[in-house]
Amino acid sequence: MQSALTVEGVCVDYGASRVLRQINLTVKKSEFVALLGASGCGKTTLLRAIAGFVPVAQGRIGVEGRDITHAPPEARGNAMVFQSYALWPHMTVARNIGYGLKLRGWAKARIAARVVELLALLRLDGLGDRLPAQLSGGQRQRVALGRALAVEPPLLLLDEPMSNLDARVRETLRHELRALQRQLGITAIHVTHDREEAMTLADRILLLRDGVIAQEGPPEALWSRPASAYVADFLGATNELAVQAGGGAVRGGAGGAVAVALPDGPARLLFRPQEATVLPVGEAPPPGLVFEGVARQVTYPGGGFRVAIETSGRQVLADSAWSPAEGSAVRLLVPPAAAHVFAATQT
Amino acid sequence: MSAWRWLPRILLLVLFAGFIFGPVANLLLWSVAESWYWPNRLPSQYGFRYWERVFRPEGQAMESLGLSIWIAALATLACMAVAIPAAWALARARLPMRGLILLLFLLPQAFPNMPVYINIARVFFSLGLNGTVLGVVLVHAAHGLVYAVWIAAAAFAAVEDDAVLAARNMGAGALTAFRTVTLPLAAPGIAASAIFVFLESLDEFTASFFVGAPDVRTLPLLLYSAAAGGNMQVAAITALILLVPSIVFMAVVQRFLRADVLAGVGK
Repeated sequence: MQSALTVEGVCVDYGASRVLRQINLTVKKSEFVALLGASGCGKTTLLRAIAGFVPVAQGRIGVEGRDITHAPPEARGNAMVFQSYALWPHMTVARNIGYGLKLRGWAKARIAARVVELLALLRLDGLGDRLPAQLSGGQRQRVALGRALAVEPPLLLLDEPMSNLDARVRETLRHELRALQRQLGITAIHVTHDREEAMTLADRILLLRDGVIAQEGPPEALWSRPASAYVADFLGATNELAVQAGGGAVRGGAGGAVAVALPDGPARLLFRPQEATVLPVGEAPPPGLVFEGVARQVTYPGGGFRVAIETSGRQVLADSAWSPAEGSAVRLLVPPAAAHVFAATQT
Repeated sequence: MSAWRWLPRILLLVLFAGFIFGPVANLLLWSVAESWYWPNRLPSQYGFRYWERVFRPEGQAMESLGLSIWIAALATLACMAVAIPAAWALARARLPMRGLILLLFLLPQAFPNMPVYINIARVFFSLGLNGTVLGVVLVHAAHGLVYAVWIAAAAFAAVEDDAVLAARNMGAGALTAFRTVTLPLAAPGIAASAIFVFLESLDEFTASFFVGAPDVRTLPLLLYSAAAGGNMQVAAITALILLVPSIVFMAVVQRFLRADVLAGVGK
């Protein structure tokens, strides 16, 4: 099947500095792709290059087999939901949503019918005559989405559409957006710096770092097999311990080994607090890397305990079903699947 | 105790009020004074005889007012026709040397008015524009350009980039996006700048005097000759008439102009 979007070797410059380097991306029809990354990684720039707002220095962008690398924004057919929503304050909700249809030469009655249909779809019934200033943040966001969906774009571009909303509204909208995308079969590219948002929404995630793709794949693949320490850290593996690789494995300070495909030498072990366990000293450990440590602080965030453990001069966090006494000796277990090991030379 | 705190404020307010309303009160008094001779503090006889004379069909005041409004309207049109594209280019297209160009528009204001207008009058005389409505309109439009460009540029700059990009993204060409999004959003600021140009033209004196007089008699010129001729009553009434559009438009500007547009002037 023809792909909805192809990005081939795209480079973008801002003045003298190159902010995107050799980006390749293919999006299938009805696929939901998230561009994830820290601020300044180039994810929004890539989206704006696809929309035609920033010029491409090198490479090619195609939509449904049509080359749009140098086409003006209005000739690209994609629709964008802006981070600031960018609703037109002088137009009513209905006129905002109907704008693209009017430009496409639709008759008034047909536009009105389509607007009503979209208002119902987005649970904005009866708000067509309001001005954007009279709506709540969540409602504005849905109007912006309605405006983009109205033209049935081959490609929907979402630029951090939920970053201006409070946590609860965001949660609801996230699920609504996913349901809507499935229901309508929309092809979408979603820019976000929120890992959870990217994981819940996307079929595939592109993690960008300093203008290059750090890793690409389905959410589960990025989660369980991060390609670099940077990706692991970005996906929540914020604990780090220094280990030694030798003979195709790394060993825990107090026993246990995990096979790795690394040359002998110093290595970095990264793991997530919620995937590690705290064991009492003396208990026979299950498979995994074991480290001796001292419980420094115990907190109860709900559901279980979170223990700050000091081990080999570093402090790490681990979840625990039981509460060790502060200052007591404990063992930290990192199960094989939770241990992400990288060569110390890699950044 | 509290009286001591309030007293200076009240005195200050009265002083300000005196500065603002004192001259207007004096004008009002003169306009209804049928006879007022030195050393009397107040007129000895009141009446509306001079009002009647000014508003008589054969009186020149109404004709001058009409002419002034006509010139102001034309000057505003001419000025905005240049100012809107110029302001848009300055605010939205990333022009090199933007600051320099903005300064250039300000430059005519930096020189003393007199020599500038005397020179304009000389040039206009050789072009046959002296003493014509067109000549006065042109010189008023040039004079208003600085306000128009600066205020309109601030209005255009206050339009969010994303709002315009959203229109392009939805399928609008550059011109359609300008017509449906940029212009309506900048309209309040542009209207305000047009009103400033109109008011500036309405009570502009120096340029009208050198370029227009004596053939084109705008209201300020009539006021001048009335006052110079010692007819304080006619001068006062003319001045009061000139006050009306100013007050009306100022009220309109207040409603129209958002504080953030004004704050962006010159940015």
